[in-house]
This record gives sequence, C-alpha cells and structure tokens, in this order.
Amino acid sequence: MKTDATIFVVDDDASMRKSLLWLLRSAGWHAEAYASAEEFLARPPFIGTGCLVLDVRMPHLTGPDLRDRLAACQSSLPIIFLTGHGDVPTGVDAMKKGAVDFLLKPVDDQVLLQAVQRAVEQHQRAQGHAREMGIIRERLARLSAREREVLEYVIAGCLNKQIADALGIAQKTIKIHRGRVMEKMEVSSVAGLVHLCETAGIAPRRQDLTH
Amino acid sequence: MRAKSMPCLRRSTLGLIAGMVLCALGACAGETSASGPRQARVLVLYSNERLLPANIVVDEAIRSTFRSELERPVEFYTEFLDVDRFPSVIQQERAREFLGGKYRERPPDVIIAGGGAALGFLTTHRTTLFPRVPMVHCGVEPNEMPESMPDDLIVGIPQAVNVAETLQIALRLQPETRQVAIVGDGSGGLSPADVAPLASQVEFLWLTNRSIAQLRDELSRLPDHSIVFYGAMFRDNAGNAFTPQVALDQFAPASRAPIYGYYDTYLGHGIVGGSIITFSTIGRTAAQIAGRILEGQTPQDAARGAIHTATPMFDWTQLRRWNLSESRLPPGAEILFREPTLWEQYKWQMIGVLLVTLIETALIILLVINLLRRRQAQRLLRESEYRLRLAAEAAGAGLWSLDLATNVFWVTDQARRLFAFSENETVTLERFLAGVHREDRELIRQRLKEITESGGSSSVQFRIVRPDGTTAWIASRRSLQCDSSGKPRLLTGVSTDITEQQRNAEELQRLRAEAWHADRVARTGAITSSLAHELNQPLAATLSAAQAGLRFMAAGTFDTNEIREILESIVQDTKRAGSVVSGLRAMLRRQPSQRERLDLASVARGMADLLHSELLTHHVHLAVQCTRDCHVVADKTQIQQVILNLVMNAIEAMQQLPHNARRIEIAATRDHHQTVRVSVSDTGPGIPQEQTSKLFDAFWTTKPQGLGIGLAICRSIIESHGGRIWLARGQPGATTFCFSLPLDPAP
Repeated sequence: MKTDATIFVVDDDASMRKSLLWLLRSAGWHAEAYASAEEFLARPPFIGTGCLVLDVRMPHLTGPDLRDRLAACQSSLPIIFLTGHGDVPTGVDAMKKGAVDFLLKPVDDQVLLQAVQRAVEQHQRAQGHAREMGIIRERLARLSAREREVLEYVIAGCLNKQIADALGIAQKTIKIHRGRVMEKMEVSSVAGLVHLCETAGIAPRRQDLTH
Repeated sequence: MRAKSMPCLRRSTLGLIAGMVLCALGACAGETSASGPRQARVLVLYSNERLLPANIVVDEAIRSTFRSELERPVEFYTEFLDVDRFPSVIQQERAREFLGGKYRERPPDVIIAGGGAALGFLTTHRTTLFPRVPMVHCGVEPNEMPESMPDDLIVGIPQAVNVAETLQIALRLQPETRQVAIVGDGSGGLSPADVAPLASQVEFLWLTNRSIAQLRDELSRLPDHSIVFYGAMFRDNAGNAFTPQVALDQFAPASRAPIYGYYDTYLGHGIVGGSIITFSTIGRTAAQIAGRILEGQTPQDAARGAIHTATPMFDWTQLRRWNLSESRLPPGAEILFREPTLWEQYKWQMIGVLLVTLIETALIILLVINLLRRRQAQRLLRESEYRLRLAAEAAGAGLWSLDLATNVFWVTDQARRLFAFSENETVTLERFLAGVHREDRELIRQRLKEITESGGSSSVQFRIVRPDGTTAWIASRRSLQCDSSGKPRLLTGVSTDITEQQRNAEELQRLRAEAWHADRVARTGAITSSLAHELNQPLAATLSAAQAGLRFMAAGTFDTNEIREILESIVQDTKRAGSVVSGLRAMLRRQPSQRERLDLASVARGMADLLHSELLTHHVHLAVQCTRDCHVVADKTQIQQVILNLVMNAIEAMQQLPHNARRIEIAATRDHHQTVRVSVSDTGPGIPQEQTSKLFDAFWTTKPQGLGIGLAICRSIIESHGGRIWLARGQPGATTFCFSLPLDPAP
C-alpha cells in the first residue's frame, strides 16, 4: 500500500512540521517537510506519486498561493489543506479549486492518515488514467481523416451502408476503412472501440438517418 | 591869570627867590657829590601845608611809584610853602633863603612842584634857586600856570579843567535845577567861561568869602531845585584857615542841596561827585616823568605824551541821601563807598544758611514721605495679612509656626480645627506628634531634623488621627527661618487637609486602571481568533506528536531516541501554549499596577510572538530591532498594552496596501543614556499633518469603528510611568510612533 509515494509537508511552524513528519512516518509513509511555500517550490519538480499536506496560513506565500502556483504548472499533486482557522469560505474555495481535503488543527491521526491515503490513491488513479489516454491518443493519431470520420460514425452505431450514404462513397470502401480503424485502434470489437473513444472523450457523430 | 589871584602872585615871587637860592647851592652840592655814586635826590615842594589831604595822597603816590617803578634808590625831600596860611612876599623870601641854604649841601637831581603856588615860587626864583635842575610840576590848574617857563627843563601836565564837566554832570543828574550855589575861595574855581553857557539855564549864587557859620546858615536855607558847587576853601572871611576837606566836613551836613566838586579828596566828605582827576593819578604821573628824567631822558622827552584824564566819580551814600538815580550817571561812572548789599556782605553765610535750610527741608520731606510710606506699608501689610488669612481660611489651610527654641507652636484657628487641638491649648511639639498617625511619626521626626539641618523649604504628607478616631491626610509645606547668626529660629508652615484629594487621587487611579483594563480587554478581544490560533498551533503539534509516538510504540518499531525527541517536543509545545494562555490572562486580568525591572526589548519580542498569528492573518511582516540593556522600571502588562495598541493601529493602517508592502518594525534603543525609546513604524499611508495635533486626545478617531481611546490610553500609561509618547516626524509612506521611559541603569 505505501508503495513509493512521497508525502510533502509545508508548514511554517517548526513543531507542527516535526510532529507531522513523525506521524506520517509512523504510518509508514515517506515524508518531506518544508518551512515555506518558497522552499517547496525551490525543490526539483516531483514526478512520482504522493500528496501535499499544506498549512493555509504562512508568511509571504500562503497555502492557497502555493496551490495556485502548482496548478499553473499543471501539477497533479493532490493537496490536503491544514488550518487552525476553520473559516468556511477558505475551505469552500480550497475544495472548489481541487483540494482533496480541508482539515482543522488539531487533527486526529486517523483523519489525517486516511486523507493522505485517499489522496495518494487518487493521485495513483489520476496518473493511470493519464497513461491510458496517452495510448489512445497515440492510436487515434495513426488514423487518416477519412478513417477518423468513419470511426465517429461507427461508435455512433451506424451501419456501413448508412456511413456510405452519409459520406457519399461506396459501401465497399467503408468496409475497408472500418477494418483499418479496428486494426489501428488495436481493438477486436466495436464495443472495445466505443470504450476507448468514451475514455478519450470522442463524441459519436450523429448521423442523419433520414438521409 | 596871575593878576587875578594875589596868593598866586605872591607864591610865584617866593618861588623865584627860593629857586635862585637852591640853584646856587646846587652847584656846590654837585662838586661834593663827585666823590662817588650816590642816591638820586628828589625834592618835592608843595604849595600848601603838610596835612592837606591832596598833598598826602600825591606824596604817597609819588613815593610808591618811585619804589615800584624805579630801580634806583631815591632820597626824598619834602617841603611845604604853606602859602594859604603864609601868603606874604616876606614869607616867600624867607622860604627861598631857607631852601637855598638848606639844599646847598644836598642839591636835588629833580624837583617836583605840587600845586600852582609851588610852581610859581620855583619859576620866579629859578635863577637863584635850583637853576638848571629839571623840574616836573603837577596839580597846577590852568589859571595858575605861569605865562611862560624860564627854561625847557621845566615840564608837567596841566591840571585838566573839570568845572564845566562837573557842572554838566550835576545838571544831568538833576535836570530840574534852577540855581547853582558856588562855595569856595575867590571865584570858587569858576571862570566866566564856565558860567556863561549855563547862564540862561540856571541862576548862579555866589556864597564865597563867608564864615563857616554863615555858609551853613545860607546852605540850610537854599530853595528847592538848588545844587552846590564846591571849589576849594582854605580860609573863611573870619581868617580861619583849614583844608578844603575840613571846610567841607563842616558845612556839608547843613546843606539842603547836593554838593558837587572835582577833587577826589572831597569824596566821602559830603559831595555827590563830579568829573574827578584823582590826586594819586596826578602824583603817579609826576613821579613817572621824574623817574624818566633821572634815567637820563630830557625833561621834554620824559613828559611827552603824558596825560591824565578825568573820571566821573560819585559817592554812593550821597546819591542815596539825595535820592539821585544812578541811571542818570554818565557812562563809565565810578561809584564809591557803595554799601555792600546784605547779599554781597553775607553771601556765603546766606548760602550756608539756605543750604542748611534746604537740606533740613529735604530731610523733613524725606522723613514725612518715609512716614507715609511706612503707614502705607503697614496698611498694605495689614490688608495682605487679612487677605492671606482669608485665603488660608477659604482654602482650609492652617497657618502655624514652630519656635525651635521653645518647641511651642503658634497656630491659627483654622490650624487648630485642622489638627483637632482644643481652643486654648498650648501646642508643643510633643502634643503635635501625639496626634500624628503612629506609622508616620518617625517620618515627621526625620523630616523635621532634615529641614532644621539643611534649611530651605519642603513639603511633607502624613496622616493624623483625630480624637474621634478618624484618620485624615495632611499636607504641610514648611520653610525655615534663621536668626542673624544663621541659627534656625522659626519653622513656618501651612497645612491643609488633603484626605479628600487623596481619596480622589486613589479613585482617579482606580478609574484609570479600569479604563486601561477595558482597553486591554477590547484589544485582546479583537485578536481573539488570532490568539486562539496561536494557542491552537502548539496544541495541534502536541497532539500529532503524541499520536505519532503512540503509533511508533504500537508498531513496536520505535527508536528510544525518537520517542525522547517526541516527548521533548510535546513539553516545549505545552509550555508554549501555556505562555500564550498566561499572556492572555495577563492582558485580561484586572490587577493593581506592578512595577518591575523590565527589558523593553524582550517585552517587544514577547508582544511580537503573541501577535504572530494576527500578523499572518493580515499579511504583515514584523521585525524587532533591539539594542542591549534597554531596562526600565515599569508595569509589564501596561507596556505590552501600549505596544499592542501601536502594532494594532499599524496593522489597521496598512489594510489597503498589497501584502508584500505591509511591514512593521519595532525598535528599542537607548536615548542619550537617560531614556529607553521604543518606536513602532509601519509603511502605511501616514497621518495627515492637520490630524497630528489631536492624535492623543481621547475619543478622537479616524476609524469608523474606533472608539478613539487607544492612543489616549497609551499616553496616560506612558505618562504615569514618567515617560512621553509622540508621533515622530518621518518620511512620507511611513508612520512612526515613539515612546520613551526613564532608563533603569544596570545595577
């Protein structure tokens, strides 16, 4: 479960940093602590799995400031906000902007550790989905423009004849395109193709059946 | 001229005989004197007798002139023809023989002839008496002059004619004159030339050739508007001879009219005055000419240019007697015998008396002024005393003084009431001390000793216990008075009951503390959430650390060192939480002021720690810059309150700035080794100049929600510590509040 994930702690309070490190380590996590947002930003970009336990109130760059900076460089690192200041607007804002959790100090170990667990899993999932998307995009890139068109009709459930009518080409040619699409997309069935396209978010082309 | 007067003719004849005799004798004398240098011989021959006043005056003038103006010693020989009493030719012949014989042995070198008769005698006998001896004549009236001189060795100055001038002067003095009475021998000295011009103006009455008695009678009956002209009277018709002055003395007192004459010897003997040539002038002139002849000049040279002038002279007593106005006297008139006025006579005595009188008057005035002033001063003193008493009574002040020799007090009624002394009681020092509160007696004794030893004035506050058991606070101000030897004599003072003031002061202090407390509570309330966060932080850390420790232990994988570190961290955070709580408690607690030795730098840092969260909330960066040894004696909570107020104001002032521009700096430094200064600066927009004067006033604020008491409270706190608080002039874009407190130097 603990895999190779890294938990980052950013808090300006030294005691708090130390205690959180101890707690995360006691749960078997690998953890790193930073005294300020600037210090964290100064480390090399993290490409592994993990999450960020971030104090909201800090001098200079605050927790939300750091969150914004990370979002700007498309980091997917999940963020758990910790605050001694349970003001609702900050919490709502944080959650809206993609925080995994918003926890109040003092925080119970169970609560924190569960949140961390969830965040890491989410990160893992997010990272898996991203990989799949990459493969599909790569396969889609192989398709010719006509083949892409045919694909969109296919996942819409159109028959060859319908596609041929819509495109104004021979039914026989459609059949060849369809075979090439299945081959390039590395699927054996239309159901498989539909799943891939759903994952990639490709919309089926609505055909004009009256045509 | 000569024919006119028989005496003159006779005198001339006599003179001629005498001259011849003397001349013959002179030749022999010249031989005998050849044996060696000898004194010059001067023979003076007078017409009249020796005691004629004119002769005396002339003789004296001649002798004194020779003495003073001629170096050569001179032998004088004086002879008197006395022709008025012995006018006969026989007598003159005798005189010639006598003189010729007498001076054969000692011939004169120069002869002075005094009077017309003497000149006539000498010229008549020139060939036989003193031939070739230089001769100087004087006092010869024009009508007595010989027609010609036998030789040019005879010189002289003719007597001036003064009759006309004298008459003119007389008429000028008395213009109303109708008649002029002439008194004297012969024509009385008047010539027809003198009378003629006046004949139309006045009538002439000739009173010549009278006896003195007749003269007195006639003069006493002169009519009004008469004057008398007196020539010279040597004898009367009774054959009595006298000098003209003596004659004048005899008739002048009887005259009803003023008498005028032209001989100076008459002045002082009854004449008013006239145009007068003095006999001393005549004698001096003759002696000068004779002197020059003796020095070798020819007689003509010696006499050249010599002249004597007449002077109008008057007798002041006669002017007064006849009531004649001095303003009518001719110019240059001399007035003799003027009786000095009282002023001239007693000038210095009068000045002296006047001075003494003035000084005495001044002294009297001064004394009177002094007396008035003293009275005024006494009155003012009484009034002042009355006012003082009134003021003292009104102020409830008791006046007293302590005689240090007897230790007995003098006290006013008010003082008696104040100290609860009974009405006629003698108040001794012991009696006074018995009324003083037991705890303050030693203080009073101590202060009494101090003031009697070091003098000056001082005040003391103490309690007394009145007979009814109540305690009152008394303030006394005393001043020591010493006697002339510097020994303390009297301690004077004024005492007032300050019980009420003490109570008011305590009440004021209490109210002020209330206000300060209320401000602290309000301020603390305003940062409650920050303080909660400040407290939360260590609690959160503690919880996490403790739970981590438990997990390590549950897993059985713990490292003892790690557990110790965790526990130490827990201890530290717990303490931290505790300090936040105690800081909060101090701010909220209502406690009496407690002064202690404080390091303002550490107070400032403590305040910065407490406000950590609040600063974070408002994105304010705070820096504390402190130098060492910023120690003062103060109430810590109150100083924290001041810093809190200033920092909170600063935070508020920077609300509109971007986050990274919000900065506060607290600095604590020593100022001039006397005070410690704490400054709180922010980067806010500053305070407009026109508002700076009201900054520290209560209820003055620029904030919509502000009460306006923050800075007023800061000021009251700082001033109660003997310090001051002010807005420092800074550059734009910064506001710096400073306060300073007296430095408490290192012990």
